[in-house]
Amino acid sequence: MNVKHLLFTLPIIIGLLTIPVAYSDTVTVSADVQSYLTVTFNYNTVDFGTVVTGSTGNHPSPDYTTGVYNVSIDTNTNYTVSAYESGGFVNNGLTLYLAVSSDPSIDGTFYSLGTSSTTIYTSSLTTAFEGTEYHQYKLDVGDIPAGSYSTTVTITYSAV
Amino acid sequence: MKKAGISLGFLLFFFLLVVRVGLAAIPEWCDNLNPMLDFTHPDEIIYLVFYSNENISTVFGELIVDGISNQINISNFTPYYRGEQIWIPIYNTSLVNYYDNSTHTFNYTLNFYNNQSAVCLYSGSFQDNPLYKTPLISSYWLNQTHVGFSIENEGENYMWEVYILDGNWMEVQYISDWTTESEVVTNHTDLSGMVGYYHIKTLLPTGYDSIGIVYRDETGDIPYDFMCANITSPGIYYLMYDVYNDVSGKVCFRILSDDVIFNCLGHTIEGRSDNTGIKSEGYNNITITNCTIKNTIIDITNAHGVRVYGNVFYSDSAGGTITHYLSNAIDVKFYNNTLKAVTSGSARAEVCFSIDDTNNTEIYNNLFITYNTTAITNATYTGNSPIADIIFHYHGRNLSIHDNIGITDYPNLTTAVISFSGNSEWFENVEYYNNYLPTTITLTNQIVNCHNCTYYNNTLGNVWIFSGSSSTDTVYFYNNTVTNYKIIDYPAGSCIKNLYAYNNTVESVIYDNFVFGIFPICFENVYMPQTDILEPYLEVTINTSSVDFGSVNVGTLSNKDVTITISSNRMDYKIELDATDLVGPSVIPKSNLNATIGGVDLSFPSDITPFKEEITAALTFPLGLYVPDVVAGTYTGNLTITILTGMSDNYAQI
Repeated sequence: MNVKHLLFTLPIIIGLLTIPVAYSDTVTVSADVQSYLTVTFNYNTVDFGTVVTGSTGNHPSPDYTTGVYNVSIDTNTNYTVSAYESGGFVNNGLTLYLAVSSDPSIDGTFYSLGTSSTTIYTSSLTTAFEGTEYHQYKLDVGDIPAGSYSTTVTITYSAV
Repeated sequence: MKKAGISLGFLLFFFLLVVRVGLAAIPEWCDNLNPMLDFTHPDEIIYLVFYSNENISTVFGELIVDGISNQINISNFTPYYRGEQIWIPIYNTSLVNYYDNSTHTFNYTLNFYNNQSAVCLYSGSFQDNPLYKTPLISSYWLNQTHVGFSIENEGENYMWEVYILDGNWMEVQYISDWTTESEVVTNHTDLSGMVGYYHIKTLLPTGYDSIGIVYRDETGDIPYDFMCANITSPGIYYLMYDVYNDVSGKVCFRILSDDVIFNCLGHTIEGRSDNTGIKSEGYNNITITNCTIKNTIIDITNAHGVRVYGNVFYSDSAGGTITHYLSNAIDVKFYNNTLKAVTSGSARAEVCFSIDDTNNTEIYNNLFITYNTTAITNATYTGNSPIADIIFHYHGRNLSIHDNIGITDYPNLTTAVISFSGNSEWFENVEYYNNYLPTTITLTNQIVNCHNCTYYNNTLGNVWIFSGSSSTDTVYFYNNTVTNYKIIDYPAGSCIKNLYAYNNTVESVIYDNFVFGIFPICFENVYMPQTDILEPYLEVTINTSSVDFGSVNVGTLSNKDVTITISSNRMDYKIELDATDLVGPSVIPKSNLNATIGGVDLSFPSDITPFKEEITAALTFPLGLYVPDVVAGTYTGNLTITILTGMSDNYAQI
């Protein structure tokens, strides 16, 4: 830049020091985020196979420690799991137990299922959750006649 | 000898006395008479038409045709008034003997007398007037319930229809014949083979005082040549009817002669943006006056001596942008005109005069009017503002622009300018003063490529001074009131030299395209004392006290409007938005709030500079909330809105 330019731009440089004018205010923002709960069952049958009568050792369902009985869950809200069976077992001297666990190798808390719904699990989420839960089954067999027995189990997930 | 001498002195004294009295009355009365003859009925009655505020019962006239005087005592006739016009029928049918039907020429002298004192002389040669090809209304001498008109047919098989003009064409009943004439058109749908003048009478509904006539040919098309015409001889031409030219590309009135005065007598020439109302190319001494030019173009090119005055150049949304041309002309005066642009809603209207390559041009006493027929919003004006403007292009020399006024229906958003094109060659010797054109948005009074240009005593809105394709050199800019004053370092331009800007009231100054702290390379000898710049002000009202997005779902974006009213004399706005996290069962990060202004994304906490114009308006922008996959529940937080001005790197303030 030559001298001439400096001379003529000096007044402008001084002027550029003006302090900006500003205004500021606050607005309240609010929102009500809605809940969602999606559950997908990855099994529909549990077959205990051949069992011995009079046992009290709670026959475990085959391979439940490997996670074969599981559900996929996607939710941003806490939920409960409740279950009951139609009576095909309990009315014939068989007792079915069900637990919910996040790790198939670790037993959850088993609840015996009757013909009335029983809450067997309540979540405690702090963030949205998307993952897998595992169902674990055990069976007590009384001294009952030999034969084949079956029942229907209803499991319900409910947002809290 | 002594007796003769006394007599001569007496006569001399007598004439002097009479002349003095006559001279005193001439300017006021004669100038307004504007008399002419109507030859619509050369085979029947000649009409004397003139304007006067005088009691015509006291007016006498002397019509001299080919040296033969015919005294006309106007008080003996019943005048018919058409607006300010007074029509007097002259029943001296012998006069028609002097009318040459083959050449349509009638030479006459008309002397007017007021109270039997000679006060006004008018003479002329009434030669072929092509405008009279169109049938004229020549009535009111019947009564107020019927109108009569005549048509001239040259044997073409034309049909005709009659409409009453009340803003729309409305068909009226055909009454049948002309009982007082032997030549009667009884079949109005077929003029085949009929040559000459024919007279038709029809009903004039009560309340209507004008009539239009439309011809249709055998195909049903309107032969516009009946309404339009070529002017091939010098003379004064009066347009006696309104014209609507609906043919693409058609020139309605083409002037093909020097020394033509085209006087519309207030009538309208309406057309489309792709056709031309009046065109003259290569002829001198052309005058256009008393015309309303609506949605069609006036084009005068290659002329020496152009006068355009007393006209209304009108564009509405139906016409869109209408650009008139005065090109390659010397000795141009454009004055007492109204340029009017009326936008309807978002459909823009613009009326523009492009004055290109002219020398000795004076633009003065013109009125620019712009308004919108619907409610005005800032968005309406920024995107679709009506515009009335005059833009100089190419090489203009010796230009005087003064006493022009722009008005609008919306304060501070006037869109009327008289400016110079930044893409042109250069202009020199410009004097620009006493103009009131407070344009503040959309348009800019540009001072560009200007050599030896003086601006003073103007009230202007946007003024940009910059160098375009050639330098801007020797510009005096003083005693002006300017709202927004922009000095531009034109990226591809040359120099701004010898700029003397002083004693101006300037509300804000902007340097555009400047890099902060680095001044244009070619910016020489610029004298700009800045002591008169007004202090900046900023007034803001946030009209939205809270924003409740209500019920929202995760993974979605919701919008709610936030309205801010801003008033400021600055152009360099920033809006900064900052938000605290929304606190609830969990946290929604503030980064999940989104907002845009004018399509510009706002991110937090970064800022934007969306505005480059002064603004006085309510600004509404959508504030968006994006909800991530968080736990359900109610969230609340605060959004801080900050508006700043006069601070950014790119929009410096002196």
